[in-house]
Amino acid sequence: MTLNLQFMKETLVSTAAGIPTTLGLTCVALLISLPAGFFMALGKLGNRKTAKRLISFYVSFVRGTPIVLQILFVYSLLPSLLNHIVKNVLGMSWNVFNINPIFYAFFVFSFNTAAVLSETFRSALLTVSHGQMEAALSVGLSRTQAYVRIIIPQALVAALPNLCNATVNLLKSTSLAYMMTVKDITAIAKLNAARGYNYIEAYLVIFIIYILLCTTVQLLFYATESVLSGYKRRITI
Amino acid sequence: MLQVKNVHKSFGSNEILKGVSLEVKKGDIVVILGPSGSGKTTLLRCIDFLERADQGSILFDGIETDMHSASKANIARLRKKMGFVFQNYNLFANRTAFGNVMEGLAIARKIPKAEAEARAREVLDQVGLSDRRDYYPSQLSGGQQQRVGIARAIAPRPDVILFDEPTSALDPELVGEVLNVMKSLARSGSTMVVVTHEMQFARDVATKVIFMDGGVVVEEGTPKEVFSHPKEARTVQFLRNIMPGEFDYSI
Repeated sequence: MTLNLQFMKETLVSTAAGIPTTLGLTCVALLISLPAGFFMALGKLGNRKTAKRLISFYVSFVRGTPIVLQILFVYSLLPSLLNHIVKNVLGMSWNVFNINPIFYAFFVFSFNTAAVLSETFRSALLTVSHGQMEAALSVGLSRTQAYVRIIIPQALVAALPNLCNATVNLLKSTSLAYMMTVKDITAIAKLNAARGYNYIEAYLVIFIIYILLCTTVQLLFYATESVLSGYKRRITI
Repeated sequence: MLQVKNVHKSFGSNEILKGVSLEVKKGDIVVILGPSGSGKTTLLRCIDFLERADQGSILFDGIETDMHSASKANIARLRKKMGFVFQNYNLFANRTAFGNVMEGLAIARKIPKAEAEARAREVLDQVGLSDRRDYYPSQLSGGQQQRVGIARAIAPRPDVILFDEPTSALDPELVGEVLNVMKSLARSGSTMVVVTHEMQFARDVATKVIFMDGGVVVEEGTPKEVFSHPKEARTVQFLRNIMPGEFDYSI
């Protein structure tokens, strides 16, 4: 068996066109789930019982179901549900089936990542001693100022390794977006492969693309971590 | 200047403070002594609203505030009149020594940057750490960290500084440097309330000694009165335990 190198070259070029979609999915999901996860972490550390229960339920729901199942649900159930609401409840003639499927992908991946990040942030916030909050209040800072200036910057450093994990996991799971007909790297590769049954070649190509993307993400996180954790460095005399 | 009245505080069914009152005049160095669990630290924390008292009131410069129902604004106003030095220093780990002192000045009190920086340099100099200005807490020894803690507390020139066992977490050989800073503060006319087990400090520096046990004030007076002529049996027993051989029991 020989690899069709010509096909691989062409596939590399055509799948590279899917990189913006993959990165876009990752970025949008992160932009939504970072603040959502953070506030859920605060909610879980606070003392409102209902909020705590709701968040716990949501997190265990996301953790307890495969992402593939969530995609199937969202992609088959949500449009019909929306259609029903738009047509029968709101009485509008807008066609929900025209919605770009990428919005469903945004929804699923944000929904999923927010749950992961809420736990990441919760554990990170717990690494900053409560005493520092008390000290901040005692010197006259408000609770918000204490969070913004003292607690969050330190929690962020503690969260970075797990945040990196979550981001890489998210980037990889966006490959499931093909199930929602979103044309990301994986979807394009599958389409190309199907034409001439060159599955091995196509998969090898995107294998390399994913490794490159994930490695870049990890390097970016390492760099950020070494910049932000400067205060932790001990000098050796 | 500062007066707290009838402070009660329970944690669950455990009543820690059973109606404690305390008066601090300007320039006073009040030292609170007592066995562990007597409520000294809780009292101090209630005064700075780090714990919410169940009952009690605080009178500061003629304005009385209920400690249980104090509003956010009132708490913020009162806290700015006080400095707090913690047992475990509680320095901001992401700020240098200088940055730690600056927070209370430039951010909390919005003092103009140049003025705040000058003041921060001044207080770090006062605690003998001008050469450690740009060090992070993780790069400082325990004694140095606590001195930064003191600098941070005194920088905004609070009316009263509260010390919660400032030397208890330190290695024995580092206690001296912190006590020296506190002594020079006392000499410079600061008003201080100190919870400590350092008897020598209490004897030398205090203008008033308060002995607490079981959530109440058992005895109070000048160091001479409390150390040389304690009236209460519990005080005698405590002093004997903590200073064996040194404490002369006489009636």
